[in-house]
Amino acid sequence: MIREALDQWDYVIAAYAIAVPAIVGLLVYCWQRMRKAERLRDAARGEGKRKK
Amino acid sequence: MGIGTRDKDMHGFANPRRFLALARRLTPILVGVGLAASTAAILWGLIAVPPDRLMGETVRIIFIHVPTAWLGMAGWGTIAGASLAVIVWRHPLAALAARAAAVPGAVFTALCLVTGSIWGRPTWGTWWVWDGRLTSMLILLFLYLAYIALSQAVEREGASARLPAIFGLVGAVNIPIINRSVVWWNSLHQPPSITTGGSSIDGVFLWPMLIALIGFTCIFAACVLMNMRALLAQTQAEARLRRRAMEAEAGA
Repeated sequence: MIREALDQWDYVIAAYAIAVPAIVGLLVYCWQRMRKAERLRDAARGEGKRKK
Repeated sequence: MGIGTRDKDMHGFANPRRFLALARRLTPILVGVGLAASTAAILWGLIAVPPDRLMGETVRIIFIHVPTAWLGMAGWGTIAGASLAVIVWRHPLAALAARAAAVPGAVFTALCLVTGSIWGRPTWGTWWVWDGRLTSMLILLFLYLAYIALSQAVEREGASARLPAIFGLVGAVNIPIINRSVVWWNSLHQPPSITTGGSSIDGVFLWPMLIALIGFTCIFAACVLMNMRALLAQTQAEARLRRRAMEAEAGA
């Protein structure tokens, strides 16, 4: 049987399959960036205290 | 409230320690509320909402497309507001807030374009048209990319934070153009559905959409706060390392 057009649900699934992982990925990226920067700052602070 | 009191309140949050205390409390709340509300809204929209009379099942894309469009524009609104605070009040955290909003704003704008294009194919019969709404939204994405490149270059070269701030304010001209584009020019895109006069969207679609808007806005705000904390920590670490290097140089 020839399908003339994609099922409407295919478009809905495609939209969510792109957007949801992208938003979760953004959240994870921001979290990791923050944790990495705060660890570096704490390490710099710790080194400073040890030297004093 | 007098101008002096307002300035004092605003500059109270310029204290990094006070800002960090607030940001540490707010971040998990925003992430939790954002994930819970957006998940609930998506499930509601995909499972419980009936298909639309005209658009059929594709109407379900509204619950992801509208929040991403709103946050694409709100992201630049954040940049513009923070840029104004940089230029007028020289607020020390405002430059960080503007930079922190750029990447999340760009991601939401790109997602708005992609989900809109996917929605356009079954409803309009085309993935893309060069009309006012779609073109001005694409320009917004380019403005975000230019802003990110400019603010990184300014940081690398040690130039004035006023430069990206001016760009942020000038770029804000595009926001009312995006908003009014479907009124000013002929477009395949529908006219505004939610105005100050009310909503033309049926309640069965409107409520999950509003919950999705709240949820994704919380996620966006959490991303901005986390980016601000990252930029602040980076600045503090660099300042400490620089001070230590100077002390070591002076001691030698």
